[in-house]
Amino acid sequence: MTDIEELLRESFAAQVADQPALHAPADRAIRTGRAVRRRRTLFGLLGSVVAVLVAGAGVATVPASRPAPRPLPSPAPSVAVPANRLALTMLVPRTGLVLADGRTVDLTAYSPVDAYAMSGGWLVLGQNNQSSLLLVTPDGAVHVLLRGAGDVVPAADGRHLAWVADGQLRLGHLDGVSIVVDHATAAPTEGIPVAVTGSAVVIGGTTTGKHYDRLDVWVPASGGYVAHWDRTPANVTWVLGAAPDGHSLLGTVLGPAGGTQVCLALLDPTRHLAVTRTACRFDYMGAFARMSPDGRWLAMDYLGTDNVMGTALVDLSTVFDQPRIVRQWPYPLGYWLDATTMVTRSGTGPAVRLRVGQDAAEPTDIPVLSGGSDYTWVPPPTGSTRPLG
Amino acid sequence: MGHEPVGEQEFRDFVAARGAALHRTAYLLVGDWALAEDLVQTALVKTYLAWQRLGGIAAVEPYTRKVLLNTATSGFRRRWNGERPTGELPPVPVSDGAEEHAERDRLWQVVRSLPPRQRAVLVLRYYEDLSEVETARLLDISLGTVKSQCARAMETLRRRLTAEVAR
Repeated sequence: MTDIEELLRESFAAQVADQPALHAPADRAIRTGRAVRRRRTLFGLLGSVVAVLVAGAGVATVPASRPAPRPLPSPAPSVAVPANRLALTMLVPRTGLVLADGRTVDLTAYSPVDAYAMSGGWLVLGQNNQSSLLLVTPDGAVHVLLRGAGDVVPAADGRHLAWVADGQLRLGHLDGVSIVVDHATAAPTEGIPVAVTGSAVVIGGTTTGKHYDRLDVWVPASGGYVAHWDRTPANVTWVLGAAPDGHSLLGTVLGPAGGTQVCLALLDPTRHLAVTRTACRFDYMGAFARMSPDGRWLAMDYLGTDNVMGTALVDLSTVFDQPRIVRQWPYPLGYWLDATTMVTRSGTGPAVRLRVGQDAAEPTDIPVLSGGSDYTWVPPPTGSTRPLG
Repeated sequence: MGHEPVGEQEFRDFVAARGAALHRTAYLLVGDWALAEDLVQTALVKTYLAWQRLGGIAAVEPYTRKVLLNTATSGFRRRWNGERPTGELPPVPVSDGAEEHAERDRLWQVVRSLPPRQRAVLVLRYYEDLSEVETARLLDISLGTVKSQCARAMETLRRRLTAEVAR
């Protein structure tokens, strides 16, 4: 096979080589646009009447003991189950959060694109309003932590994070509803932060799908960042995140057997990602993994010998002594609900629970938003204060 | 014949100059020429309605492309959803000297089965030749999400093609 990126370029070019003509696109757009303007003029009046009726109905059906959920603006997700059955917070990109109790947090002014569970709430990255970094606390309040932040990477401890702003790479931590800068250095001219512990920031080059083309590390205790891309071992292919020991990183390295063999690895960020332990009995491991809240289990993308893509579970307390997959489920990588339960999607069907001790998936009452709404689940605030570094 | 409202001739000029390119991108996003034309029309209508407030021709194309991409990756799935990925690629007849062509077609079949956002990232990176930063800006997602979506898509392509070769 030729290089897949080149093949992709050739394939795209070939697919559009025989392009049919558009039929009077400008005329049609103008006609439709004029009709839309007419409808807007008419329905602008009707819309205000409908809004009053809907608001009245909402007040009548929401129990007085709970605050009335504020609806997300259009396109609104349709959450068709009782709100108190929700188990995970949802991020609806460009719109807001649907909290686990059904309340919605309207973030359209910030156009949210990513959210992470932190110790005091959810860290939300907004594209608008000067690329705001927000903290949404469990009471639904929105706190603006930073403006102009980019390439934000939270640590697994739920407290630390790295980001780029004003030409600097910064490492800091959450203190209540504000952020404290612990260290800062000139931002790398190449690469962006891809993983962080309380004491180190890993910087990745570009990804080629199978691995980063190169990796580097900034350890603030050693001073400002100086690029040393060549010091990272060449067989290190990916950094999954912080390891449960608090100072190592979990990553992947190419296996000694070559081919598709990939090893799970412990990497030392203070020694330029030197490989300290490996577990090598995995034929294929994807680039994405999520550690359970207690740090015991690692769920990861995995391709089995039957070519079925799914989620594989390894026990981090034993995997480097006895490398084996404890459980393999034919479902996409999901999100940890608690220390032993993961929730994931089952194709186009409802969400399912995957439990550490069971092979079979269990049905859930966690709704899947209808209407084609794009969304992601966000785990609950970590509450963890596990020290790092 | 009465005078056209202010801006309509500029709108026509814009469509004449860029309509075909938008149509090609739309096709790569949704995999069907007729659906791609619908997608372009949706984007053009929104552009027409926003014409006055866009303030200048320099702002028009980025706006149209953004609408096109957002529409393709969110709710624009009417006919596309009727076409389910099969999990196995359909056999592609291979004649002498046509191996490269067949490989491109196999790749295209896999691309069509990808989730909309992953497909959009690939189209912007490898058809439009945009940088990761430009791709993030157009799709309203973070740079990290561009990287992760691209990585997932490329993994899927490699996996599926490798599986096909092995079969």
